[in-house]
Formats: sequence, C-alpha cells, structure tokens
Amino acid sequence: MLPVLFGISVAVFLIVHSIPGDPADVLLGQNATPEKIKIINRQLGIDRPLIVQYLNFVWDIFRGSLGTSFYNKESVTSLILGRLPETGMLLTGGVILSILIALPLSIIAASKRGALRDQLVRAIPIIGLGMPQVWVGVMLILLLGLKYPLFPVGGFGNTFPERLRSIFLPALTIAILLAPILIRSLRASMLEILDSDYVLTARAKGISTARITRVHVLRNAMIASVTVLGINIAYLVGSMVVVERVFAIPGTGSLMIDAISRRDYPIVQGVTLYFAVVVVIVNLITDLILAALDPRVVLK
Amino acid sequence: MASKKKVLVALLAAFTVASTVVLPLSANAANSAPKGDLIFVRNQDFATFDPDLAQNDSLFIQEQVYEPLFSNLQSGKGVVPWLAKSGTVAKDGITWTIKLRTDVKFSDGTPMTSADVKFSLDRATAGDGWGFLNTAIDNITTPSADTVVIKTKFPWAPLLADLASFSNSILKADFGGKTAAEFFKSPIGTGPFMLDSWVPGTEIKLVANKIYWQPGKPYLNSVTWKYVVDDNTREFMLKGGQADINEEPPANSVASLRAAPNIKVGVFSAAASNYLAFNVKVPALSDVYVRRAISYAVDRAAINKVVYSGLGTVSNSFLAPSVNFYDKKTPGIQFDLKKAAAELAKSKYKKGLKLELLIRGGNKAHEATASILQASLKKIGITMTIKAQEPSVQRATQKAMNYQMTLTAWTMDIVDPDELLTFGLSPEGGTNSYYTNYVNKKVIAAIKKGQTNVDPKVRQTAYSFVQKQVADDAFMAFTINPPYIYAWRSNITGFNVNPMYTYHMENVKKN
Repeated sequence: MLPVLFGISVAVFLIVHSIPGDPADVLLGQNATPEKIKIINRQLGIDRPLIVQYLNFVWDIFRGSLGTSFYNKESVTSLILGRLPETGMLLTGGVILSILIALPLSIIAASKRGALRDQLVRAIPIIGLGMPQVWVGVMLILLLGLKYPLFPVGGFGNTFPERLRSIFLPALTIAILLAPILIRSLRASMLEILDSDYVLTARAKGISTARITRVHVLRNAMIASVTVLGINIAYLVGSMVVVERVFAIPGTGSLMIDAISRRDYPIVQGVTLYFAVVVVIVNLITDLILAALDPRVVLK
Repeated sequence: MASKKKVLVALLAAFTVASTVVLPLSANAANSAPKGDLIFVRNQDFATFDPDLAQNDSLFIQEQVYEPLFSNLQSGKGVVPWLAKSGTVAKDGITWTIKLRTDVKFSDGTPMTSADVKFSLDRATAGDGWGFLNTAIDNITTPSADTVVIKTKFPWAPLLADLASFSNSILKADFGGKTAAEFFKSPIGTGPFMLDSWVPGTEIKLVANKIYWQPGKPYLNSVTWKYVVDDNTREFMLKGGQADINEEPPANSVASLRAAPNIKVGVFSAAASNYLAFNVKVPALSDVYVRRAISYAVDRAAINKVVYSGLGTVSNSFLAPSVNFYDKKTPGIQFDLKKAAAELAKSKYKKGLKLELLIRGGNKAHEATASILQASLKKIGITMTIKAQEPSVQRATQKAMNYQMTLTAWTMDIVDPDELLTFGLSPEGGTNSYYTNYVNKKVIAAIKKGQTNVDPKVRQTAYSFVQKQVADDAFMAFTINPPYIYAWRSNITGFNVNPMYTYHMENVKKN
C-alpha cells in the first residue's frame, strides 16, 4: 500500500504543478496584476523549488496533516473529513439500492433462460448502460422532485432523516447505472451454476428450488459479482462527482473539482491521496468478502 | 339553558373581538422582530471574510456583516452617507472630514468609533488585494470619537466612491484583540446580519443582528447562501420551493422561469461590460485599421440575442451605461460589415489575414460569441481560428500576453469610473492596459485630470474624451453590457440589486 501511495503522491504532485494557471490569480480575481500575483505566491509558498514543495508536502503527511487550502484557509484534512458523510452515504446508498434492484431481477431472469421475463431483464443492462448519469439524475428530479415532490431536488439536509430523504434520488441515480452491470454478471453466473453437476445432484436429491437458489446458486454466483462490484465501487469513487453536482451534494468529488478549477494544490493532492486509500480499502474488503464466500480463497 | 346560551354568545363575541383586534395587534408586534429564513442558491462558494481578499464569491455576503462609511445609490450614479453622517472636502482639495454616526454598534454591542474607522482604512490601504483603491490616501487622523480626517496625497475626486467599496468596510479596531485569522473566522461588523455557521463548499448562514442601527431592520431572521453549481439544479430548487432566490440563472432560462407559477425574475442594470481584447503587439493587430475592421464586424445584436436572450444591451463605450460619467454620445463602433471592409482596405492586410481567438473552454457564452464573430470576419476576408483553454489557463495565457485576440469582461465595484480606467488604461493599473499593450499618453493624461479634479463638469469632459479616444483606437471591441439576472419566489419582497452587483438584505422580507 505504501509504495502505491508514494507513487500516487509523486504523480499527482507533478501533474498538478505542471498544468498552467495560478492559484494567486484565482484568489485575486479581476484585479490580479503580475506584482500582486508574485506577492501572493510567496505567501502561499509556491514560489519555492518544486522539490522543496514536495518534501514539505510529504513532511506534512508524516505529521498527520495534508496542508491548508489556498482558497479558504481551512485544514485540508478537516475539509475532506467534513465531506466524508455525504460521499459515504451516497456511495453506500447507491450500492445498497443497486443490490436491491439487481438481486431479484437476476434471480427472475435466470429462473428460466430465454423466457419473456429473461428477455426483459436482459434488456435492462442495454438501456441502463446507455443512459448518461446527468440525464438520469435530471429525469428523477423532474419526476420525483418536482412533478411528484416526494424527495428534495438537491442539497444534503441537516438531520439524519432529512439526509436519508436527500440521498435517495442521487443514490437511485447511481443504482440505475450500477445495477445493470450487476444484473449482467449475476445472471450469467447463475445460469452457469444452474447448469453445473452439483446443482443437478441437489435437484436429484429432492432439495427445493428455493433452497438450491439460496444456498448453492446465489452464494456461488456472488463470488464473481463481488469482484465486479468492488471494481465498480472503486470506479464510482472517482466518478461520483457528476451525481454530486446534479444533486448539489457537497461530497469529496465536488471538493476535488472545485479545487482543480481554483488550482488549490493542497486539496487536489489531499483528495487524490484519499481516493487512492479508499480504492485500496475497497479492494481489501472485496478480497475479505471473497475469502468468506469462497473457501478456496486463502488470505496470506 | 338561556344563561348558558348567553355565556356562549358572550364567549363567541369575545373570540371575535380577540380575532379582529388582539391577534392583528400581536401580529404587528411580531412583525417588528426578524422573521423568516431565506435561502439563496448560487454557483459560487463563499471564500473569505477578509475584505481585502474578497471577490464576487464573497463580497455580497461580507456586505451583510460589515458596512462601509458610504453606500452606493441604487442607480449606481453616486453614494450616500451610511456609517458616516457626512463627508466634506476642504478648499485645499486634499483634506476630507468624515463625521460618523454615533448610534452605530458592532454586533457584539460595542460602539463604532473613529479608532475602528482608522484601523480599517489603514489596513485596507496596505492590502495586497484592493489597497490600490486607496493609493491616494496619505494619512488618517481621528480628532474625536466621531470624526475622521483623511488627507490625500493630491486632490482625489473618487475618494467617497472608494470609501463606499466593500474593501473599505469598517472592522473592529485591532480585530477586537484577536489575530486577523481568528477574527475572520468569527467576524464582527456593524451590518444587519452576523455569522451563524459556515461550511466551506456547502453553505454559509447569517442570522439577524438584533442591535442593528437601522430601527426595525433586518426583517429576516436568517439568510443562508447554498453553493449549487448546476444551473438546472438551482432552477429546480427554486421551482420546488427549496430555495427562495436563485443568483444568476442563465439568460436562456428566463422565459421558463417567468412562465413558472410563484416565481419572479429580476433583470437588473449592471455596471458590467464584455469586450473583445486585442493584443496590440501582434503585428496585424498593431494596425489600427485591422482593429477597427474587426470591431465593425462584431455583430453585437446577434451576440446579445444568442448569449443573453436579448436581455443585455449593445455596447458603445469602454464604460457601461450605468457607470458614472458614461457618455451616451460616444459614437463607439457598431456592427457594419461595409465599414469593416472599408477599414480593412485601408490597412496593410487588404487581401485578408489569419488570426486566432482565445476563449474559455466550456463557456457557452464564449463559444457562441466566437462562432458569431468567426462567421462575420470570414465575410471581410479574415480567417479566425478559435483556441479554447480551461478558464484559469486562459486567464494565465491572457496575462502572459501569449494571445492575439481574447474575450474578457469587467464588473465595476465602485460608482466612480476611475477604478476601471486606471486598471484598464493607465500604467498605474499595472496590467499593460488590461493585458492589451495599448498605450495612449493623451488618454492617460485625461484619466489623471479626471482623478484629480472634483468638478463634475471637468471630469465629464475628461472622461468623454477618454471614451471617444479608446473607441477610435479600438484597443478593444466593446461588445455587450450584460444584465444581472436573479429569480425569486413571489413571497419575497424588497430584493433589489444595484449596478455594482450588491444588494441590501436588511430590506428583504419573506411573506
């Protein structure tokens, strides 16, 4: 994990500092003159050699700090921690809803290969994967936020119940995009397992279809799907910014995009490191779940 | 039974009297206390309570917490005393005596005095951000608790306008014993609202200052500005009742907002201008006839229609019409392809030429303006290519002057034109004439004359000359004066935006 994080920190630092644009220019706005920009750059410490700035960045990390935002002078660590509940709830909600959608539909589809219900469920991934996130989000807002105002149009709310309501539409947007991937994976795995010898043996022994599905088919089908889900969660962490923007959820994705446009280097570096840690943790959790589901997988 | 009926009638009568007399009285009493929580949605994130670092993202909100000595008129053509009672200049033209109101208190209950004013103005003058507005100030003295004397280095006409700037807001002397960083985390001002909470990247909430010096104000209990980047989401939140005021909805959404029930749209006159800037050090653009040809080829009406849905106005001057000393008689250069061709024929590039326009990528206004311009220029023999860069990269390229033509803009912060004229045309602005390399000594002299003469007639003559000369020199093509657009729920009253883009939330009610 440490070599990965070190590599990412170097790459991010170099990329961020090599793109044109100036944090002081953003801070000073229309009145920025070259002289004022020089003064502010000195105050921010970005007039120093790159290697010195990088070593300061690494030294700060060892001291448990990700630095201070150029833009609003807040600690980067507290800014990221402040956005974690939003991103965490959105991600968790999206994953839970996608499983709730994908699981029954996959079981229905796999229960009779080639039947009408199977054909209908198979159409879902084609439609779902073809819809842009922004469009799905806006359609959900128009339908369930304005036409039938069941959920807030945007924002995150202040209390836990408000937040649950606020998070529903954006989580559903994520689920609508994630569920088709899970459906395709789960259905294919279930069909393969239903054709296997041990399922045939189980049927011959007179075990009920429900029990076969639950104990033998679903559990084994989930092994492949957990890997698919893990990869896609890692992908979602980086791409959730679209959903956050559409629903005005102030999560880590929004923090990152704002920081890039403001050339707020400490935040860009901090959030990228945080994304890297999350992806590594998600991969670790995926491996642990796989080990729990599949006795052949041994953790070393 | 009869007595029971009488009691019932008496009770009903008493209830009716109470309903018609007592309840309205109590409602009147409640009206005097702040009520209603208003929610703004805007696409800018509040950044700082430091007036020296404030930009549009922060200054409108700062102005609800801090106040300056003078305030801009709604017309944008002058200032009125605010925390000051009066401001007069002596015959020497450099000694200004400011008398302060004696009924003003900071939100922590301490009275505002001349010591606070001196501290605030000295700090503002030394500031790296907006200190340039105060460069004429020599020293400030405080003969009494309610008197401030400002001496300028030379006669300086824009002084009262400068004092009305948010950057000259009055803070507590010595930050009330705190460090600057501590003070700006929990600021104390004389304004109608106080900081309640601030979550960077999310929202900032202000609550009513109950000892505000204007009796009965503010009317609102709280105002929250929520940061919502997406234009559609802001519109949906307003329509869905999750927001009360939408700051800067796109011009092309105005028709839909006007058609929506319970929504009002305000299109306010703005002291703002859009320009097509020329780098006059580029050989082709050092030729005034080429610049004039391009200026004539800008189809301003088409840009206004496409980009601003016809809500802006076609520009004829470096100054916007709502800026003091704007001269409507300035001919400017307007769209005329025949004149454009004629000007090009006078240049060294009779057979046509190739030029590049730098724009901000993803900026729909820039993209539409560039397409309209490209089509017009093609008709007079100028082939224009469009180069799009990410906004902050475009700004850096412009400031490094590695461009040929680019789109730029300006919004006034004070009612006096000096801010823009110095920044955009004088070497003292430090920007090589708004990053165009344009120099005209007569223009610079006229700006100096306007700055140092308090006689409005003399100033008008000087500024009219500047406007005519820079239009003739075509160092920029003046394109559109865009409006400020706001939309709000119809139960909101008293909301007004002045040409300096600021608003007084103490006058706003939520019914």
